[in-house]
Amino acid sequence: MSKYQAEEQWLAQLQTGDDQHWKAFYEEVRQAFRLFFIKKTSLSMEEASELLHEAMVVFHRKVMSGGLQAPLESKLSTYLIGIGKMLARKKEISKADQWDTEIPDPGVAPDVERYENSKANALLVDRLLQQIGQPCRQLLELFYIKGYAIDAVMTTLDLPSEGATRKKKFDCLKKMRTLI
Amino acid sequence: MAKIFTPEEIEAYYFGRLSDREKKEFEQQLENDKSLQAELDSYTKILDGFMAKKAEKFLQQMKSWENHNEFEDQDEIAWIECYLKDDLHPTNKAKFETQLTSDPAFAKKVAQQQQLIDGFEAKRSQAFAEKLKTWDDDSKPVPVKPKKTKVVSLFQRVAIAASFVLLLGLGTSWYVNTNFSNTALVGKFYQKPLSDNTLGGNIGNKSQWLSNYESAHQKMNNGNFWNARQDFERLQAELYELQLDDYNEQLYEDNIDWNIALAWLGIKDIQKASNQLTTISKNNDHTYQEKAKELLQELDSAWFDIAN
Repeated sequence: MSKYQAEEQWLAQLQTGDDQHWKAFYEEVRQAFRLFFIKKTSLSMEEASELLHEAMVVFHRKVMSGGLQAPLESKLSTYLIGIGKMLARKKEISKADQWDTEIPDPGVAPDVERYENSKANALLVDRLLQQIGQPCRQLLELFYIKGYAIDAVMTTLDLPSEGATRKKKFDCLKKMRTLI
Repeated sequence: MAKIFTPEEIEAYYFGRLSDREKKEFEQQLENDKSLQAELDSYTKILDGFMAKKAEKFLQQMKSWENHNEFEDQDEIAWIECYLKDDLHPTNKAKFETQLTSDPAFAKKVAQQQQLIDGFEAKRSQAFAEKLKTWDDDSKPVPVKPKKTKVVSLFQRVAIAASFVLLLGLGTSWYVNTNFSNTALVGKFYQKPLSDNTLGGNIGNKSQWLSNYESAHQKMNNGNFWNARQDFERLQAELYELQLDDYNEQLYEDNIDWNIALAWLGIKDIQKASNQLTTISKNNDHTYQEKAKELLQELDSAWFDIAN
């Protein structure tokens, strides 16, 4: 039996993508995360808040993509601080401090790396979305940005079937690719 | 021949949703397939872009969650507390001290919080000291407790005595009335009339007298002692006219004597009851001699006097 059953229940709630669960999680970890960094690093409270937001984004992506699954090996808050640690290391914050040995490495280096590099691609996508037309833009935004499931996209856009919706989604992606 | 991967499969690879076998197959082809490499590169840019946009949306959401004053207060308290516990990173400690010297309002808040922390600390110490005292007391041998002399005021003493007397009086009264009142004694010594079998066989046509006899007993049972006594005296006078045999005559006569005595007692004419009972008690042949003696003793007792 896992040591972190309550945390795993929480993870299952976060995986639903429900804003209320994410907000509750954010409020729960917010103070602990920031206090950790103002005690252990030279980050100010405001800077620790920014780091928290970045760590939450990586964490959100990890959870929503199914990259974090039970059984857990640590508490979710420890996992989040671990992401914060990797981001701080990337930013070369408090190099001389030995604080990071206290927090296990969550194994999210590729996600952190990808997060750091993806900002330029966001501008690219913005540009491409303007070129593919309203129906495709709407469909892709619903699916990738708002996180709708295929059946929800189908209902919202009044498409005939899930299969048709899936096909249209990949057609639109192809269209974007040809525009690059 | 190289497999053509669909955008769906490329997307699955990007999100890490392929099975191990599919992933291996994809990556093997990726090594030498320039077209797949280009395709994956393009999709990665697009999907990364979408993820970044999604992250941007999530960031905005988090910022909206930050927008309430409660967090500001919490942050300040946490910030001060970390400093007071000497828990801040040296850089942050220096920043804090700069703020402390330059911002009097902030310095006041810090002083207040220090006061609160000291107060809680004192409370905790006090509670701990009390606990130590309890442990100390528990470990001492238990001395024999001297009897406590309770100081009771005169008024309290009188009140207690009065209550005691009242209770005693009420209890005694209840006890005496239940056992020694005139009616209680009548109930105790009364006996049901002799059965028909004993009385009836030789009575012959004297059924009216028997009926009156039973009616008189009924009145005794109902507590109608006055009328019962009159009935019994009448029956006594009529008894000799019945010309019963000696045995039956004595049975009825003795029973009537006895019930007249009880009826006098019932109507609380103690003197007449005593006279009647004395007569019975002196008659060695009387069926109720012993009973009469016993009842006389009861009438002579102090309890009877109290009850009546």
